[in-house]
Amino acid sequence: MNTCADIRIEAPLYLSGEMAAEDRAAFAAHLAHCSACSAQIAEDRSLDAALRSAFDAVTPDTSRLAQTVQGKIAVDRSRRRWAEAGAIAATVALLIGAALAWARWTRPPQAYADAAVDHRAEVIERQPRRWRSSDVELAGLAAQTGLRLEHLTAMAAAGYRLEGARVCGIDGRRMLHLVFSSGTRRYSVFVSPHSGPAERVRTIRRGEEQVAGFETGHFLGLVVVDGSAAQCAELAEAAERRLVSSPL
Amino acid sequence: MLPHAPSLLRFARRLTGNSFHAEDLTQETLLLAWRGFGQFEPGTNAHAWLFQILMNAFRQQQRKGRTSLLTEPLGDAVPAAQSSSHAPVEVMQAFDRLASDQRTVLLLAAVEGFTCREISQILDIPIGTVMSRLSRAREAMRELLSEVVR
Repeated sequence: MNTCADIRIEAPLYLSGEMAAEDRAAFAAHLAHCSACSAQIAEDRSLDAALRSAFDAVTPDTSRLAQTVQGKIAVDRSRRRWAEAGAIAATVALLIGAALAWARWTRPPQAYADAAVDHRAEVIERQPRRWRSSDVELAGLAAQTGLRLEHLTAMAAAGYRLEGARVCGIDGRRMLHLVFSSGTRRYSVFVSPHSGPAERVRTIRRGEEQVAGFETGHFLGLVVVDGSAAQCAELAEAAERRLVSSPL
Repeated sequence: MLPHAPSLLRFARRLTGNSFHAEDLTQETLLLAWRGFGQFEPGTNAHAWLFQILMNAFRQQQRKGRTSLLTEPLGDAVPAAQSSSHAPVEVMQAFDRLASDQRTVLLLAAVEGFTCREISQILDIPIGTVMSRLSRAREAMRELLSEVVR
């Protein structure tokens, strides 16, 4: 049962039509037998209507405002289009940059290519070169790269021996070209001092030649063989291991 | 959005008490609504959503010191008498004499037709506060208008 005090509290919900059906029925039942509350609600309705009518009769002029807003929305749209175009351009530039970086990353280093060419010309095709093969000459060449003769001979894979060496230019770098032979097969090891930033070490194929690089921290080595990638990598790992285990 | 502009501007004038600031606030509201239209939930009351944006923008401006809450009532042009039992001029005079917070809730409820729950969301105050302010506003209106009659 609603009291007059309840009616005063809940009147805003009743007038705005927010009451649940059951509450609304109880509210209306109270109004039906309470003339004071009923008159108050009626007056509130009448005042709301009068107020609405008074405000609605004076509609503010919004034509200038609408024009300004439409103008600003047009500017906003234009900026948005430019921003979208900028984002697309930035994405394209990023993709091009990534493609160039990828191409550069995947391109074999020039040193690998030069080593393969030297091996093909000097070891496979046996083009005339002046090779050093005596211990004294080899020791002299080793000293030029901060190594000793023992380092050079130690790099030989099992069943191979150091056949000869010479100094050559690989990608503008002075490297010692060592040829190891088993009597029937030969492979090359190019070695030079290396103290710059670490270079990528990997295996690539160039023509018939397979080239594998290694780095010891002090030396950069390239192994070239006219064989498989696995064989080349194995020879490179063996050369690196032996070079590292031999005291400088 | 633009069909809501007159209501927004009318409310903004009551909030700020200054036509220039009211236009500025309404413009900002409409632009914010246009930019944030993706946040509007279809099926909900767009009118209430716009008023909520307006109130948020108003509070933001208040924090920046650009506008202050209306302390003096506006002297709006009042239309000629109509069919109500009270003359519009008397109704507006009584309305202008209400406390600022009472004017705001009464305007939103009686003129804009918002429910107590919607007003609570627009003004970011509890629904109980909306109800008590509305009750006090209507009671004050009744008293003020009865003084006129006497």
